[in-house]
Amino acid sequence: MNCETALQLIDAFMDSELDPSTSLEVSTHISACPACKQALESRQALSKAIKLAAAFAPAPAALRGQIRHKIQPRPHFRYGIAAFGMAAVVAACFGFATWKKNSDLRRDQDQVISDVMAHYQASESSAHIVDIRSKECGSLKNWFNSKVNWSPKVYRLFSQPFTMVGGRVDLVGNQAAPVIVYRSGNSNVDVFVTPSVDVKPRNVDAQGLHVRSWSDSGHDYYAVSNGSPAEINAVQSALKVCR
Amino acid sequence: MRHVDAAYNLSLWLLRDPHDAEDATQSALFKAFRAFGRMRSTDAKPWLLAIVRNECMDLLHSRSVRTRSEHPTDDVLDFAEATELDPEGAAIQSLDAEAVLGAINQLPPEFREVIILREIEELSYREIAGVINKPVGTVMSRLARARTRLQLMLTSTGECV
Repeated sequence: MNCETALQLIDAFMDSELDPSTSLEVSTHISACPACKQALESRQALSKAIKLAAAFAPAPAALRGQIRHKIQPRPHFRYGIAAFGMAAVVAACFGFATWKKNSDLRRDQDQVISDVMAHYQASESSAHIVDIRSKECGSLKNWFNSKVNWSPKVYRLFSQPFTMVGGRVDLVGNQAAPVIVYRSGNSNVDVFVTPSVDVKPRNVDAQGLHVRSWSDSGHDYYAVSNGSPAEINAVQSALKVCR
Repeated sequence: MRHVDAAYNLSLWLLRDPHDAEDATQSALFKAFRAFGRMRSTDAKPWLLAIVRNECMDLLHSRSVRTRSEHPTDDVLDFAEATELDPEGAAIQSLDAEAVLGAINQLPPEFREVIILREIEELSYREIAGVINKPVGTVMSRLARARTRLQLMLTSTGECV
């Protein structure tokens, strides 16, 4: 495969829309061709930037309220009865949604856990561990503040053998989430921070990864590592005491 | 009803006006409810987004007729593309959210919709093809061009530094 063909296919490749054999050809070409690799990385950076930027756009929850308000029947509505029926259906759905909120919270937490596991594996396999390298809390915090539209606390681990590597931003749910990366022994520990929905503490150990999630002082935390369970438990408790 | 957010977001992206977006979403939801029995697709989201998208495109079209500026056709787009960069040329300098949003908003609607449907709604090419009623090949080439344009806008000097 030459560069011209590879570049033509690069979008479909990135979007996992190619058949397996073509995908393999593109991947083989890219691994041997720095220019095409650069092109792919630019595309990936753009894709990530769009997703992150969209997370800054007005929150869907607020819009939903507006829409619900707007689809109430109005006197001049031509479709009077049908609209009223629709509004009733909408209202019923929202009632049901509220009722289901608790199970949704749990499901959302599962979704976040699978998101953070995927991000962890992606960052490990691409060797792109951090967007910014920093051992200093203050500068990392400033950097996060410029990247996400809410202000996370940055926790520092004081106790050996953990060291702070730096930070990056990943998309968790629909929101840009700061990720603080620590080094513990031979493995990285990624701590994802999200605005709190008051998750119940949960531990997941799957696919060789360990995830610990908990809620504390207005943030939810998801710590992920491929090290030993003891290691990640230690990180979790160290984070808690070193506020 | 969980697709209402997606429907509204798509309208807002395409129309760039909250009021118009509300009207379009409202109208599309209405049509969707009436047509629910005829829904063939197994997944409601692309189906609903197709209705929303058509509603928005009708609105955009009537707007452009009002202002007497024709909607760009694929031919015009082809011509405009001739001066644009290959993906390899563009390394993005600036990725701050405002610049990215600004750049997306500067895209012609035909390009903007494929970006939104792919990057934000995360539809497959086949689903996007269903929404915009074009072949998958068109989806692929529009998406590639849209991304190249965005990269170009985000690398060029000016408002997106």
